[in-house]
Amino acid sequence: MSDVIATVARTVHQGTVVSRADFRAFYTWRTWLFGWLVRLLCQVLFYSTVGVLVGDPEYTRYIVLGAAVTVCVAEAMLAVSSTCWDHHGGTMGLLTASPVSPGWFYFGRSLQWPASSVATTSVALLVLPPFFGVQWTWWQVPVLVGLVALTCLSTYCMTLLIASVALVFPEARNVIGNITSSLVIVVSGAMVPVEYWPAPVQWAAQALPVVHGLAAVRLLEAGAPDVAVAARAGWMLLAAVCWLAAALSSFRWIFSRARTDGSLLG
Amino acid sequence: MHALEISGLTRTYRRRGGEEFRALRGLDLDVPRGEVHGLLGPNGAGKTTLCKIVSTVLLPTAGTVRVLGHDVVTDTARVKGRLGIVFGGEKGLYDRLTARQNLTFWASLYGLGRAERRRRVDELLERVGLADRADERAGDFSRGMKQRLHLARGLVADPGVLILDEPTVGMDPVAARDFRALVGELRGRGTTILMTTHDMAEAAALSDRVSLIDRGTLVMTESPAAVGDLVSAYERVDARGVPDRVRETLAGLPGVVSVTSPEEGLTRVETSSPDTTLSVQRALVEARVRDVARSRPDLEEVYLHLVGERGMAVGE
Ligand SMILES: Nc1ncnc2c1ncn2[C@@H]1O[C@H](COP(=O)(O)OP(=O)(O)OP(=O)(O)O)[C@@H](O)[C@H]1O
Ligand SMILES: [Mg+2]
Repeated sequence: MSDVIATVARTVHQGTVVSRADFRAFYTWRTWLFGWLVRLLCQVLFYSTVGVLVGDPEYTRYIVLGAAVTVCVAEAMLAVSSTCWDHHGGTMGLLTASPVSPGWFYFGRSLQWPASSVATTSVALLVLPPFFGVQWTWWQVPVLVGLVALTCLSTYCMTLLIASVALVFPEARNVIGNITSSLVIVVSGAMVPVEYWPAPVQWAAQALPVVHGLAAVRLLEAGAPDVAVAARAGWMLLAAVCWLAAALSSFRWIFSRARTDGSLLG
Repeated sequence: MHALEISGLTRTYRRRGGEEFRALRGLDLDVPRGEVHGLLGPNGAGKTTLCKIVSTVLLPTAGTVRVLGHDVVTDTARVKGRLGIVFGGEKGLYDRLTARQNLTFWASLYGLGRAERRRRVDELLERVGLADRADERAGDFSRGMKQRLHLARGLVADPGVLILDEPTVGMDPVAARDFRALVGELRGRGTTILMTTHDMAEAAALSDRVSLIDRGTLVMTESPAAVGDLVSAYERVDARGVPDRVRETLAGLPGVVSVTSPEEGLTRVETSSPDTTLSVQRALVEARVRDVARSRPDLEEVYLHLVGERGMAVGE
């Protein structure tokens, strides 16, 4: 058992080595700060002004929280692209031949995105909502950051499954990533409550970690009892575990299928 | 038990449009432990396909492959742990990682502990001559340097069987020479090596035996020394600047099978016995022909003979 854990830890760790190198090639701290973060903050501001236009302070608070929390979705979705990058690198054949469990490697391999989104989403949630009538008390801040971290990581587990599917259709990876992130945001309860949608969509939405994450943040802001917030976090965790399990099986299946048709050899 | 036992190996690819193509057609090959086995054959013969199946990257369509007794289909995990692979070309490295990070990556995934990993990676970087460039990004390396790194990568887990697919592509002569020394060293330690190459001299110099594959089937397996027998059962004497008169004399000697001129100015005499060879040599010396040599068909000649002079046409 401890052997298995050590192997998984090593595999994830080596994934993060690739992940860090990619992140450094992608951003400097300046471009991350002034390019990426500022862009996301502007996006949240844009949606929040819609709330201001409507002229309902309660809806404004609703929308600023929704827009800020769902920042993590698009960023986690970048994992779809970074997973597919390896197609061109020719490393997938070598991974197939190695004793590694591909799912755990790919779990580590795109961790840069959820890591970055913990920062961007936290900043968006802590900095912007106070301008739109949301007041955080000091003790809420660590809880909030904790919820954000859990939401980012859980959403990432979901995108990993999508990334594994995109491996089969690498040309469509951007379309797959963009469409899923848009759909997720639309039904997540960011702009309109989940209850607005037909019952089957509402049910399906319960599988989305960000739905619970956002609900937990709203509960926290509304001063709901701790157990209510914790319950939502628990559901989110459960959803994340399920997504991760599905993603790991999917990667395993796709890599073993590739031995039949040679599809991952680039 | 052989290191590699390949029998009836067939691999079919489905091409665009659904049409099937048989890249390997019932290939049989055994490679004993500790042997360096050269795999030759024209472009498209199926060498890379064979390497990929042996290294568990592809599944066979039919037939079996055993690596150190373990089946590549049913016992994949055991095969993976005992096998190193080097696919030629520039791909297969994490370009944004340094050479050291690339090696550490695979050492770690192959289960080496921290201290062992560090020692092994340092040793390999030194061995392939990349120690001074160890902390530079692999993506910035030249082709030959990438190839060295690939070679080191294939060795991280200290495999019992090493599959090398065109390992010296892009290497400069010095690197290629170092590579040969390395293969010699590995052979000395009992590593079994299956190596494809288009370099006949390399194949002849390194291999205990060579196999020629054409259109997915095995044409022959021989030691490089014995390979000449396949095209000529006779001894040969090559000489330059032989006057026509002498050529006629030679052709008349008992035991001379043929007198030909494979290229401008070169006379080749094939003889049926060592005694005849001696009389041919004597006759040439008496005629004051200086440039005389006994020769045997080399690997390249055999290759051309067996594969046929197909030129640029790729086998179907
Ligand atoms: N993924 C694939 N899909 C369809 N056909 C393939 C695929 N890979 C290889 N082939 C075909 O199989 C045949 C054998 O290819 P292979 O790469 O094994 O040849 P090779 O002997 O390594 O050639 P080379 O000397 O050029 O490297 C070729 O005709 C090739 O076109
Ligand atoms: Mg090849």
